[in-house]
Amino acid sequence: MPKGTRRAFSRLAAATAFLGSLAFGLPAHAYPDKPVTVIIAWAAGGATDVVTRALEPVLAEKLGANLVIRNITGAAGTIGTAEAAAAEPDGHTILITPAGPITTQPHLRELPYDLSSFDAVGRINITPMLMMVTKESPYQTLDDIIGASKEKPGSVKFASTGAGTLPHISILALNQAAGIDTKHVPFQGSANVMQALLGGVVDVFSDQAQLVPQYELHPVAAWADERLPEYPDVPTVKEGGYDLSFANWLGVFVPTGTPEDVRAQLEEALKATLETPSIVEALEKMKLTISHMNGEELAAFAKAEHERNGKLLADAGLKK
Amino acid sequence: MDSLWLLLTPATMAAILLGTVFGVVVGALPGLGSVLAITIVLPFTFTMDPVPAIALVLSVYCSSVYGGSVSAILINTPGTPQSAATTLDGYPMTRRGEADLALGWATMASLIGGLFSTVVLIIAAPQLARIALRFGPIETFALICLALTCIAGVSRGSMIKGILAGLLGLFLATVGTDPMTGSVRFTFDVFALSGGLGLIPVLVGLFALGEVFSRMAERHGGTAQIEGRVGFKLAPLGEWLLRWKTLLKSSLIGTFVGILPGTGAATASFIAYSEAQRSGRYKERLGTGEPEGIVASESSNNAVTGGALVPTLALGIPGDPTTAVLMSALIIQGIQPGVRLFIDNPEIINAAFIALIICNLVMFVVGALSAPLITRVLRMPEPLLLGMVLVLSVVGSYGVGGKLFDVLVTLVAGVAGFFFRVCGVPVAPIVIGMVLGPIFEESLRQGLILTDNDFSVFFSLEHPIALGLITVTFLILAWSAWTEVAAARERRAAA
Repeated sequence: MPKGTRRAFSRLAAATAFLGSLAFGLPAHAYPDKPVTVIIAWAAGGATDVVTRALEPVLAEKLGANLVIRNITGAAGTIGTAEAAAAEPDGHTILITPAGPITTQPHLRELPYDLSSFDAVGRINITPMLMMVTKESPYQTLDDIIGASKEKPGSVKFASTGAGTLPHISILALNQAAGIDTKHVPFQGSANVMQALLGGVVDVFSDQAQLVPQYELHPVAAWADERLPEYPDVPTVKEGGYDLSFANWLGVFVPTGTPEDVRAQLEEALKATLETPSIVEALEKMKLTISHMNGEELAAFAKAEHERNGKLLADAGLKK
Repeated sequence: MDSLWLLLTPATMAAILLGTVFGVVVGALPGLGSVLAITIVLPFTFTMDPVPAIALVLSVYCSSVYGGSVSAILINTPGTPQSAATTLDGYPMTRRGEADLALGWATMASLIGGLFSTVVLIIAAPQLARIALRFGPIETFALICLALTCIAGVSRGSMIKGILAGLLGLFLATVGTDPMTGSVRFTFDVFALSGGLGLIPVLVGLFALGEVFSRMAERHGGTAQIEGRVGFKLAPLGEWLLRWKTLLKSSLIGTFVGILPGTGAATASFIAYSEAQRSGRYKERLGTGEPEGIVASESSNNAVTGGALVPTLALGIPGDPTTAVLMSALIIQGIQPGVRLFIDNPEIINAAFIALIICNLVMFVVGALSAPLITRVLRMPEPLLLGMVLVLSVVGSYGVGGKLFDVLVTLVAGVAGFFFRVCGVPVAPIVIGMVLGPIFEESLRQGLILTDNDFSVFFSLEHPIALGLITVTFLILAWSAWTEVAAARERRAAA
């Protein structure tokens, strides 16, 4: 292309672009104008990752942008979460996270972020935890566990998936509410806990309900305000006399300071995604029930969890 | 037989073939391992029927474990931690110009190890799974003690340096978050260190970059490039028969270690390697390019595949991150691994078993056919090859955790690896320390919580398996010390 022609061409292109933007009244920064990065603070293939990868194609379509999933792992999810907190608050970086990194970890140690570093976009699901034992266990009811612990402190062994995780905090809460002393044995993940539980190394574990049918366990009690629809015969911890509820949930967050309209667009896209039949079905396969909350609701919900967990950890002497 | 027909469909066969090629490539790239390979194909299985989906995931699993050996042999860089022990004899063979033979040994050993463990899985999965349940923290601790003795095995000749390297590995594994309390340690207020030092970034640095740096130094000194045959060559049957004991033992070790949750293929290959050093026919030559070392490492790490599927399928308890991802692929297919699987879905289980056999065979064929192509990297001008390894190392170390910090770790480990080479410090013990360190610490501390801090219970008749393993550990240590001393005496007498 001769020089003159090229210059003329580029002028023409610039003019077209200018006129185009006038004609359609496009704002200077249309969102999204580049791929949106989704930060997952856990390894690929983990629970959070698998859910995100299931949502990804539909969410991308509803948002009108490609999604890039980045797994930034380590330190109970805090490294990836810190990366998300430090990202540019323009809606091009979002965080999909369970409760731990934002509602418990900031209480346990010094982190470069806190819950206030994020604005909520929406909740994806919530699954109340179940307290479970093996079918052969001598502790088949909540009263058995509490009775044995009162009789001989430290005799009942509770497993958790690590310090500061929901299973651990539920133990602290029960210890405190019932005035008992139990033994806490942390493991690296729920698979390791299952091995120890089935092998008789530990006695009790609280986590997602789907573990009960998967490993043919005995459900002791539900950590919920009301009985779970799938387990109508299993009493709640509340019925046992202790007003405690714990649930696993996944939420979508953006760094604080993300413009209102961008957040609204994300909220809308998430809501539409969770209403898509193929997504409902995909999450059902993973035994997850969609329970959407908008940004405002999630913000209040996460704040309440953050405060409660902080208090429980402080009472147990674990707060930083 | 119905299961066979389920498998013999074009879709399933295509899944196995593509999965195998993909797995070998990802396994061979330093830093990218089995977990990543399976994760990448996971979304594709969402829309597939159960049988092709299982076949795809299994083929990626087996072939990625094998793939690590290719780069271990050709460029002294284990593609995955599982193949770290393969470098010890594989690379010296390449330096002698026998890369084609080394690949032949590795591929055949992987096939036999994989098939052996598949047969064990088919015959006795539910029964063997019960053994896995008898391994609590105290038994695991005893097993790890036994595994740590391989440090002595791979350090023969430079025992003090090797033990120090092993201790360094154990120490590096303690950096980051305390597994019991969640508090951070040895981070010097560097936030990125609170996640600990990743095994993969350190491994890639020590092996791949260390190798690149030392080759650069050699070039500076004017050493000629390796001239080697390219291609794929199987050793004659007679050579195999001479090493059958190691092959069988390593396959057994791999299967057994695979069955026990919490350990994995890297541990298995080191245990098998040091067992070959203790009892192999050519134990004197191990470490200098003796095929027996490749046989030990590669048959055991592929034997882990079938072994690790025992608790995964029969109990629904995946023993390592790789089988954990594999299990989530099954769950998404609506197949729930666990005690009921063998009763409720026998046709799926049988299809999976046959698929596993086919995957191993296809893995061998793909390995044999691709070797002439892959070995050509040795004909590449060395600066180009070194540049390529450098780029792949950086990409690999970044890819695992998505952190730039890991690249920094790789670079530092690379420089350290170079100095270790110069000083004659073996790097394999560092890897052993880093692989075993976290499980060692976790099982010890869990055991102490359970026994109310009474360490003596670990050695009591309350835990007979642990007692047995600890006894064997002490015997091996005593034997190693005795032979080391005897060898030193002999040398002195000869001098």
